[in-house]
Amino acid sequence: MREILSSQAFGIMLTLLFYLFGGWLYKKTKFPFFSPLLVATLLLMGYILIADINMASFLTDLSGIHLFLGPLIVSLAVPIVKQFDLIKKNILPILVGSFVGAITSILAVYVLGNWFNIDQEILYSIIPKASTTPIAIEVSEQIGGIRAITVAVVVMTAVIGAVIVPILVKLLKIKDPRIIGMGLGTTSQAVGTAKALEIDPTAGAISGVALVFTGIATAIIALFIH
Amino acid sequence: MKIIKQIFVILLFYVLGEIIALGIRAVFPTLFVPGTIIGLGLLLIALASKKLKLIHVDDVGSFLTGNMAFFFIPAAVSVLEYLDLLQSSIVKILLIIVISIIFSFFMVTLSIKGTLYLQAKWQDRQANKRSDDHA
Repeated sequence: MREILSSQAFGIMLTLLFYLFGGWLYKKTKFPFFSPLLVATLLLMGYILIADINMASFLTDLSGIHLFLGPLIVSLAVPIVKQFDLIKKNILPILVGSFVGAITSILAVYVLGNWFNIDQEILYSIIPKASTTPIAIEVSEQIGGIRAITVAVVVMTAVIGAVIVPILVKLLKIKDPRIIGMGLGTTSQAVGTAKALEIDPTAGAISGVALVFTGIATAIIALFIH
Repeated sequence: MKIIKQIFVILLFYVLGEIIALGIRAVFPTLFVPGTIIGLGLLLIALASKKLKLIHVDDVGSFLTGNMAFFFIPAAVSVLEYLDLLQSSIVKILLIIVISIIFSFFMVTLSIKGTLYLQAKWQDRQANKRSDDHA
């Protein structure tokens, strides 16, 4: 029994189940904290701790990340091309917003991180937090961060951003769906895009585009970080 | 066969990107350009220029990007291994996240408003010029 409970197949099955549960929970509540990634992560953590599974082997079994990371990043071209007309019409605001989003996030993390005297390894893991997870991992490993921390921080950022940004949008009475979409896409990636889609279809499409461009901008800026 | 073909095309662009990145690193050893980003750029150009049709990558590409979060669950879970490192700074990390989101949001909003304003002004000028020419 123990063998089954710590096997790869069971691990993947459980991950799928938790992920589906998270998706269902989000659909019911529309609350960003119930993002499938966060829900599945917390449930899996609970399982590992309660069932006392040998974590190292369990995770290496599960993690096909390095196999998927490349194809995932390359595939980001697909959602972009589908929004080609929208991008052509708004190319300048999208490019400017994405670069500003990436650069302000990196700057804020760098300045605050040094001010708070945070551990260097952690700081490097947080720097790419504004970009979509696969690109964030790529950049983090390149500048000397820790992959697991980067993923955790990106998830937290996405979830927190998807809560804060709609509040700011309301407070500032922002109506332009392009600004709403850019605001959510540059700060809270996929979770923000789901939120943007609920607010306005154009905002959702722009957000989906912005998260890819913010990732690319982060990777470009990271070339100059050392 | 369709899906296999799409996986092949996506992997092809990924490998092409990695090869080009290797070439760049050979010429500029200090410039670490990620091959994945180059692969993304190449696929974007191929699709935008219609050299490659969307149907050749759509199903697999949409599946991967649409369910992206799933692939990162193991990495997110493995943050358990770094609890000691994180324990002392989790509050600082959360503060950094919240402040930087608010800062970024304001700057993004301002920059887009500025861009739209300048764009509108420029278009106005072009329109005026044209009507002047006609007059």
